Amino acid sequence: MRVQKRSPWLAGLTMGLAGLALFVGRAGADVTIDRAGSVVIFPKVIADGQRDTLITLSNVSNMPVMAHCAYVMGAGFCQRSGDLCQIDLDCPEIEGQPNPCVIAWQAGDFDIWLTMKQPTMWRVSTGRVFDPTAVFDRSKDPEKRAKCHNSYRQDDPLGCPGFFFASAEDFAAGNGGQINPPPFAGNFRGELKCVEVAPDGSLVQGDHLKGEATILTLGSSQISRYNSINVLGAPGDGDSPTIARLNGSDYNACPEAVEMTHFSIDGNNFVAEGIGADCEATGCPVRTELTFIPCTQDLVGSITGEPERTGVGLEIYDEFETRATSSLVLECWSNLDLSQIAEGFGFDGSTLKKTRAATEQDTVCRAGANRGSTCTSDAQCGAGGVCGPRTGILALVEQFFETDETLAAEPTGVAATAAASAYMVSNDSDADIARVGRCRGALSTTCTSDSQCPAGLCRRNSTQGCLVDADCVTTNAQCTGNDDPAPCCSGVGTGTCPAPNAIPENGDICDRCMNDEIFLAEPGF
Amino acid sequence: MLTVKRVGLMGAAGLVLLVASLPVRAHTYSDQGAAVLIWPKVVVKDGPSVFMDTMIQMSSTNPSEEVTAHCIYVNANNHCTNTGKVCANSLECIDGDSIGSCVAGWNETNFDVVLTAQQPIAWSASRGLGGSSFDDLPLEGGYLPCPGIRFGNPHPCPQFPIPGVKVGDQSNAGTMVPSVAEAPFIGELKCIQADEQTRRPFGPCGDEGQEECPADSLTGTAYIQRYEELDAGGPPGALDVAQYNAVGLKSTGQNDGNGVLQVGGNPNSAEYSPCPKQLVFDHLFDGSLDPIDGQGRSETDLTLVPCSQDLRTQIVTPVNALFLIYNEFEQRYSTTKQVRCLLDSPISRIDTSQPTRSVFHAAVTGTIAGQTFIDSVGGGLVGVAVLKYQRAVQTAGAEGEQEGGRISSSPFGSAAYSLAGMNERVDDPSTGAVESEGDRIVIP
Repeated sequence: MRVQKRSPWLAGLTMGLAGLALFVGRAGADVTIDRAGSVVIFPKVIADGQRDTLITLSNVSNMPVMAHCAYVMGAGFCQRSGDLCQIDLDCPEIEGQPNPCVIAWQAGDFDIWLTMKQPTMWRVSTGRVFDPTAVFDRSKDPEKRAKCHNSYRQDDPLGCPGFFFASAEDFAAGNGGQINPPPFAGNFRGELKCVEVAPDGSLVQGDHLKGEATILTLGSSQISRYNSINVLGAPGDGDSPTIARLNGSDYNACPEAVEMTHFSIDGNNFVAEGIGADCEATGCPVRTELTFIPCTQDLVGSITGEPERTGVGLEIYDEFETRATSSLVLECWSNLDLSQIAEGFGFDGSTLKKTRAATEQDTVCRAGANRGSTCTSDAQCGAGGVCGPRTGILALVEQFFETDETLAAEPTGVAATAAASAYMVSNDSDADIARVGRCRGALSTTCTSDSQCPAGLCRRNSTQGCLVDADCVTTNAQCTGNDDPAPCCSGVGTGTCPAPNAIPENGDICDRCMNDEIFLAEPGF
Repeated sequence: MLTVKRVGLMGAAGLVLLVASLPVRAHTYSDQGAAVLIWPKVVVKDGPSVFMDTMIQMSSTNPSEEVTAHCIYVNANNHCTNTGKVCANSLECIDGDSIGSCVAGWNETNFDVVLTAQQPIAWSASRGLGGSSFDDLPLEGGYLPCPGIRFGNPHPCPQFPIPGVKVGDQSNAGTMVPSVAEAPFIGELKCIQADEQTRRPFGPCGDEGQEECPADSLTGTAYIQRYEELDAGGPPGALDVAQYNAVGLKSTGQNDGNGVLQVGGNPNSAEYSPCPKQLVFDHLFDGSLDPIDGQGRSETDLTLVPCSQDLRTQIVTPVNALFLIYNEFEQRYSTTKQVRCLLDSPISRIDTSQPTRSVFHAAVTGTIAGQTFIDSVGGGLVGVAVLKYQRAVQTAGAEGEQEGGRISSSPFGSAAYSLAGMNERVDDPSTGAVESEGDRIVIP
């Protein structure tokens, strides 16, 4: 009988590899609140005169980190009355005339520097308060300022470490630190995104940023605080300076779905009465707001372009395992009370609801004349068309806990508030949470990195094949012969672009594994 | 010629290189389904002027099957040695001629929760959850929403068929959540996805030839609710709520099904994702003026619990926490604190009993915002932070007074948030480490 000898070394190697695979293989999507990331997202930022937001942002590394940030205004204004609104129902008719809600959708960007391990914070409504007390403003004392230079880094253009208290001269010189209020300050409701960048403005997948947002109801002590959603970088070879691709190659992908558990419409906070709150008249109901943002955003086109618009499907379960469905339209940013969604959330004898939200796993025109329409090929998207996956979504839930005092005819208090991040979940039978992409030109092929796709196509010059972004340099011929020239061209039918093999600013990119993406304006360093 | 031994050595070298190159992403999760949930801060307080309770909410993400969670309350109250009363310090242990000491305690209470498919459920820590009721809103009364058709329940779960589940096919039978052991109460809650029969994690599973371990199906949140009765003549009492997501440990896909949960450490034997080596959180330094409207002062409470716990022998292994604090000037401060069972403290009282002298106080650090890194020695840590604001208000004077009234502190607002993690407590074979970096939870 032949006896087969087993090699203990090889057996150990096999087991070791299997063990490592367990840690790596079952890891979830690295879009998370639990770790620092390269893209930091604050889904709900309010500075509308009734509430204001404090943003804290920090660098967890031992090196300086730069970030390019953008506020995105997501609310709108009633066309005839000018009131802030989110949907048409927020705008009552005026003298029998319709008063639709027009989403403002505008981005305001800025750049920020953080020294090693530095935290910083600013109030959204006013931007950075750079001189709260004279004691800390060394710039007013030239002698002290000189000491600050000498005792820390003489060649540091930021002057004193921690540029929160930088002088007016530093601001004028553009040495970082200045944070302007967002667009429509005083009426701002939207989100904030910050992306880690290098000094030359190129994107960096360093995973060094994290933050929190604290929303205060003005005139009270009531605060909600939530952790930023952080997108971790991926070890890819993306080289676009202005497009963060959440496709598993450059940055990790958004989740397939998000899930939140919250109180039902008119669901009562059954703990409040037990600890002494007055609930006899009202039952202490809880009001819930759900905030959704798209993972894909074109912040470059935000001045003249269109917001990301998609349908979001909702699947709702209550504590009796009763299932309901609903939907809403997400246009740029959506912050809706459950009563505004209504369908599926109506008071039906349940206290809790578990809501799962996801977009369809189909493909839509990402560029071209038919942008936003469903498609299965580039040709269906019109001239310059690009067909790719629909955007994913991220979410936040905030709840408002009322009592008899806060709901009285003359309230003697404000509702308690609390915010929490949504859970990232898988929306199909596998355990993978990350959204899969689609290969450009072979949309039936799913992918989680560029290497899984054949050669791609350039985004702007959509018939040109490519493997990397550098293959998609805009040429002079495209400037002169193209009705929709690249931004590096000086005009329609004229102009030139940088030399071949250079990556032009806001120029063309190579699409292989298409997934969510964030188009950023060029940083101002 | 390559000998077996040489091939083995090459294989081992390859393994080392593979370890160095693989991006190990495993860590704790506050935003994904998990197999173990930890709520680091559960509070109940019964006066005299401040009343607190914690609503625990837990959901199943399983689309079609019941999920059982074996849960454990860990009571971290201190008690007087002479009276047995809950205490904060030894001064509270003077009872007539009897003078006792206030010593740390640590004991556990365990129970099971059975969730139906996709079900959210909630209970208050002071009351618990169990039994059945024909009330329309059973959760509000502390009753199970789906006790089962055999009890004549008017709410069969599900009420209407959903894919893979018949009407009335699932129930919460087997669930009995007790109230916390005493009030006041400070402690934590752990829930482990388990086999309903054995009350242990499913297993053995994941090894070749055995069935797959179940998918991570638990998500959870805590709502810490506070009501304060204020002084007569002051503003009326107000409710405050702070919400945080539970800290989750994901399954690695292998489990031997015993009562010892291997958390991180050796990849060959780890059953759950590792705790972080370092926690990071941003905060406002205590005593700093509210930077939003400048009307209140801020304070932050930090709660830490060890990842390793022997709940069977109830022997507490302390973990040393090293705090590295950075202010906005990039200036660094540090301090240490031992975490025995649970640390729940305003940050300015971690290093001193005099907050204005603390390295966590704005008067010392000179800035408003700070970032703190927490390294742990002797085990991992998880936790949660709570930011609190308190405003001073001018109350109305008595009738007839021209200048009356007084300054009093209004009830504060608070908000809880998660701590981030950096690096993982995972063994790295390349270092030749003998002792495991991982943690271990031994359940009773």
